[in-house]
Amino acid sequence: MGDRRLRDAGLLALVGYAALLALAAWPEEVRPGALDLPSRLANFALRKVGIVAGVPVYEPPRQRIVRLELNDCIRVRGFDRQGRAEVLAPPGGACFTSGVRFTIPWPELALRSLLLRSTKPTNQAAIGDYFCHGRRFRERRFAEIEVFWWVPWRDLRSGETGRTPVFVYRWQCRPAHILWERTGPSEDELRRLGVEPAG
Amino acid sequence: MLGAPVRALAAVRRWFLAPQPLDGLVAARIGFGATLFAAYALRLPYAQDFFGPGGFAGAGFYARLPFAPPLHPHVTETLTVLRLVDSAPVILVLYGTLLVAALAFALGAFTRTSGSVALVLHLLFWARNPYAYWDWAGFVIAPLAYTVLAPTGRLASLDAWRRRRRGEPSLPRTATGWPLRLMQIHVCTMYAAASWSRVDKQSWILGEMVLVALTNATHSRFVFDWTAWQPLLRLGTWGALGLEVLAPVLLWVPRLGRLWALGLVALHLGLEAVTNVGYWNVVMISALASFWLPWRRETARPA
Repeated sequence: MGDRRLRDAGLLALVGYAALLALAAWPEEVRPGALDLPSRLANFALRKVGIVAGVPVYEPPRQRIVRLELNDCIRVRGFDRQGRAEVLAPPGGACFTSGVRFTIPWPELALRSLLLRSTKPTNQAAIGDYFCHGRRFRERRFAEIEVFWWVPWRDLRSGETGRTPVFVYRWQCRPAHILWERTGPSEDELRRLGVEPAG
Repeated sequence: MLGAPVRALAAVRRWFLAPQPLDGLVAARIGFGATLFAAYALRLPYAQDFFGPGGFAGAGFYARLPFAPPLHPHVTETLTVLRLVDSAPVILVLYGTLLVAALAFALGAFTRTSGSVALVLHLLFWARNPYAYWDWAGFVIAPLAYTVLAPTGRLASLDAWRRRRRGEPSLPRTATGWPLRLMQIHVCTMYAAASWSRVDKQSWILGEMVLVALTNATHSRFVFDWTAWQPLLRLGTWGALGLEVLAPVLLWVPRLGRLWALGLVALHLGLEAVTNVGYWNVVMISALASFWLPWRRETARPA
């Protein structure tokens, strides 16, 4: 009797876990409204213990994409106390937008993931602090770090090309804090802020 | 009156607990173990930058900014313990242990122990900095756990080879079915999460999403102007959409399900050739083995 109860409890746990997975993975676009809260709760509970039921991959906006984004370009510059700038990433300062490459360099991947997938202000602080004090950079004793993210694009219909500045901020190394940030700055604003054009 | 619920419960019990062939989970064990080994071996030059005290949001960061939240926004804070480890050698030792455990798990050496160690350490490193990988690293955790919980060391393993050398009889090729069932369910939830949200996205419906992905250096291995290839890429978009949207249903259909799984394997091989998405494709191909292995079912039935 005891064995049977144990087996039934185990079976119940399996069925419950499977239901949690199914609920958590059900995208809101095709989810009945009544399951909205249970689905969010299931996702929250599973993620707390490191279980990911599913991930939306290649998730575009609802509207048709007419501007083909060529990359998420992220440039990091370090400034010494005299205001002299040095490009720390990407190597050579140029953003890759054309050609063949079989792997994405890890620092580029990490910066991109942190900016696009992590949340403000933790990601800003993590990147700024790493370039101030990280083992590869601490010897240079930078005073400030500038992070600039822009997207070069090509229009699908007209073939026109351009770039959209997404975000820029300046981080102070000692004491550690953000000096300023701009979301969607214009090219004029970038010039005023001293953010040099990037290739 | 209680006949229908009792029969349903018996069917659920049978579905979860009846013995199933281990072949699919064994293939997943080899795939996941090899993936973890390759992923961490290739990150070795950046191990301290990603996970060390002087790396992104490491112990040094939290000493300077003690009120900053963990880098991982979702997991329980206990799992992010590595961010507080203020010793580079300790991180290196844990990292090395993970490398050895992942390789041993792939080879089937001390399978359950090595798999458990690899699982726990990967979870901790991922919770410390999930941005050191693509999303595959988070997804793989639960499927990896299923391969650890099942007796996957019985086949294609150093453990089985050692048993044979000692003259001990081989262990059965089947085991209780629940780890396999959880793997299969998880594969389906992955495809549901990945693809069902696409049904109202115009770029998918119009067949332009492969063009969009191939043009972007974030994903594409060949970043060119692909617009001349658009008719072909449109077929690719619709093919991928159909395969993935229907997978959570059609993978369960007898016979068709196995062919569908092979279709998905072909899709992932194609994606692997042209896109940069970390180890997503290897992980999904490994997990899909739970639907099509063993190909000849009768050879794996218990005696």
